[in-house]
Amino acid sequence: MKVSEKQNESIGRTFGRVLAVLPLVVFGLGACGNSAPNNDPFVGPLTIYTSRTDALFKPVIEAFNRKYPAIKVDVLSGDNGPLIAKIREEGLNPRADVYVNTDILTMLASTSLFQPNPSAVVAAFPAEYRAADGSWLALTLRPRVLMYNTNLVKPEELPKSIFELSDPKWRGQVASTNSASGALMANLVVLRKLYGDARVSALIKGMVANQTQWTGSSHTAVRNAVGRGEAKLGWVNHYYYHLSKAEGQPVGLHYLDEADGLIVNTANAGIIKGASNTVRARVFIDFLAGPEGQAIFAERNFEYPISPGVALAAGVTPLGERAFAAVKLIELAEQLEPTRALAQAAGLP
Amino acid sequence: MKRTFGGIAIGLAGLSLVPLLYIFVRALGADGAIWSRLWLAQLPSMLVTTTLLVAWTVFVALLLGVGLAWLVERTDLPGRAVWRWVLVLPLAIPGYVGAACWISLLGRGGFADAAIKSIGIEYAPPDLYSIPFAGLVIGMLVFPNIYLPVAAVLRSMNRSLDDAARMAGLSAWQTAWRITLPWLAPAAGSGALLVAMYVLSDFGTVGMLRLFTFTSAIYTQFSGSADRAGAAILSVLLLGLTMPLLASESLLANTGKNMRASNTWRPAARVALGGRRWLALFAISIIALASLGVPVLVFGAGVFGQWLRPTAADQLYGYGDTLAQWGLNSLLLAGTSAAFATALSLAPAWLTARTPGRFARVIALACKSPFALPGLLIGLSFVFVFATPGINLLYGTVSAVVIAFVVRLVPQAVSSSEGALRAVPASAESAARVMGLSEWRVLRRVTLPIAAPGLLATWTLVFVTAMKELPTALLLRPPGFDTLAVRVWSAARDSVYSQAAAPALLMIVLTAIPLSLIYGRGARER
Repeated sequence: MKVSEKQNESIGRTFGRVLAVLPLVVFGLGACGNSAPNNDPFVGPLTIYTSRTDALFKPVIEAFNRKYPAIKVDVLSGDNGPLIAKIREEGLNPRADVYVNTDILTMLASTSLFQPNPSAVVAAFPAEYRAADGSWLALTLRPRVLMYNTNLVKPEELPKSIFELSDPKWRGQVASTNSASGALMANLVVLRKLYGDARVSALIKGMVANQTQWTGSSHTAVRNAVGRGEAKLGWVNHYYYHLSKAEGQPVGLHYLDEADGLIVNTANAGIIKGASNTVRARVFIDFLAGPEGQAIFAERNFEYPISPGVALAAGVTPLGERAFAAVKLIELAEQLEPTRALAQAAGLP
Repeated sequence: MKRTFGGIAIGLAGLSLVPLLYIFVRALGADGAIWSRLWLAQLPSMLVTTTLLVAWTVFVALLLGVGLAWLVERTDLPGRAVWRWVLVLPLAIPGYVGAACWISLLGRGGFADAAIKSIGIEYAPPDLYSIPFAGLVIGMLVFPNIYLPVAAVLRSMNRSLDDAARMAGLSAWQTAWRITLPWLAPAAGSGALLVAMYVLSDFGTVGMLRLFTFTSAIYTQFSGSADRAGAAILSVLLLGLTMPLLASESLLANTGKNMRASNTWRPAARVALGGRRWLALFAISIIALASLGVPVLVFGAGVFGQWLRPTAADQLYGYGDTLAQWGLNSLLLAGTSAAFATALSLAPAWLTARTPGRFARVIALACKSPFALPGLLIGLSFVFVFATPGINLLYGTVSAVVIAFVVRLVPQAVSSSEGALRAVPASAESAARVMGLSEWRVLRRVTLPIAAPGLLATWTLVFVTAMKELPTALLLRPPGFDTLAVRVWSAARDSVYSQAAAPALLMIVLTAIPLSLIYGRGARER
């Protein structure tokens, strides 16, 4: 390719212009994030940070937009830790209006970042699933379970207790999230409370030595590993079993027979302090907590809705048939960081 | 003009050094307990995995890079002009895209698995989540970093060297072993260091293959906790590995000799492979197929399969009409930051080319220092920077991503722009000055027009890098602004490989086109 001199000269001029326009573009792009707030409850932008997987959050947004087509929703999905840190760092100039979280402990560790919500829908929630001032509320319940590949494991071979995962019998056959996962950390917080540091530490060391397949913070990767047979067992929240089942994968659900019962976490939401679209954020929270939002979580994602009177999806066992752990996560928020320290010191990636 | 360029260059050097500083400040300010916890419990296994992976990948890439360069430049292999072009294209495919491809082909539930199961055969599929596999996948895609400089040296070698060796009684193999190979060592070595740097910085591939290396550990620390101290500490430790690599790379890069300048230069003789040339052709075709053909075919089949018969997972994750938007975001981000990086790199490049001296050297070194920073660290450090009250206006905007991308791209842009400006004869500039043109007019009317094709190549090169960049975008992107890289990663880390197909295919196409334009032209001109 021969470039003519004229072309060359014009390219040279373009470079000059690019240099001149540079600061303008940077400022222009920067300004995009700072549109003037408007207080119309049904028209305008709404920004949501969420630690839910994109795909599991999309149906909620789609249903919300069917009801409120003029609210333009932008979503940033990520992990619990970085999103909370981001909200804290954005401080007085928050980019997001709502945070939809997947771990009550991370939520409780940062309650000062969220603003009170006087909504009547929130106030109607059971008191143990919301802050008194409405600054956070739980949306759904998700018990921790094992799922297994039914082609590779017979029900009678399944472990009775989570501590059996360090048994050499399961070497290389267990998939789990790692310390990046809020759900696993909360699970370990409860196990520490019930059984003490030594046993939890031994469990982790055993699982590491047992070549557990750690999938980062992704439970979806765990359920797919089990569904495809890359692993026999996966340590997940219950709905990942149902999602795999609905896709036709050969999976089974196994409640761990711990003496003290089930470990249950919650998905939560709150409106960020200083949010520029508080009015629409309240509309969104009311939608999540109301019958439509709760029904989507229940039907599409097989979770246990908090709001009484919303039906469970077909095939989901009512929680009342199981015994819960005697500990309440809500009382253990300050245990999160010490538990992470213990887990990482034991070698959890 | 020197003052203006000096000012811009100092600003750029500062921008490049600031992130580094932030990481150190955060790490040194961290709680000692976190240091000792990470050091004792995480470091040993992480160090072993990282070292093994780097060594194995470098070995694979050396074998491919040097072997293929020798075949193309020193034998009568058929279709050499085509191979020169084809063997560069793997650079269009980042490691995480390659990994997603091979897992969807060979993994449980993948294409091959389904086919073998459908004829009723029981078998154990290969262990893909392992160091040997990861090294193969990455090596297969990064070997051009070694192939390109080695091929250049092979082309420039003087025939008289071989002749002398043969006259001294060495056999053809002995000549290759004792004369040619040592001559290639600096080029191969600096290429190998680039590959090692790539593996150390690689975040997507290891994350996807569940290997716990330094970068995946940093990401785990980052995504697990709202406290970034752990991530900063591991970053500092990783810098301890990458800094020495960078230093030795610049040492090696300076030892290359150009024999072509000699007036007795003749191209070296080609080895006649005889009947074995078809064997060689077969081998090189297999390699090209594995590194280029398979990704395109697998992702193509994935996209087609989804369109034909979407699975439940596809319906759940379905991207619908947003694919084009991700493509546009990628193009916008890569195009803009490549333009800024190229334009800004003119300042340090001009200083190095026109006013050599200590000032220019120091500035150039500062501007190139982010090269030792894996993209994940650049992203992380800008998270720290933009978290500072007063600067956080930019946090979560596209501008923040552009700024971080520019820092990530500037080292590559400076090296390439230096070459472009050096190609401008100083005599042309002084002639123009004698004619009474001001310095700025000389730059605009003489220097830039002559250097334009080289600068265009610079832009293309950094554009390709920017299209593939994952962690910087992942950490800094604003809500609703997903790039192709981010989408490939988020689908593949959830093991929903069918959903990675479309964005991956689009990324390969958008990246391969400009890449083949610059290298394809080069191949024809030779």
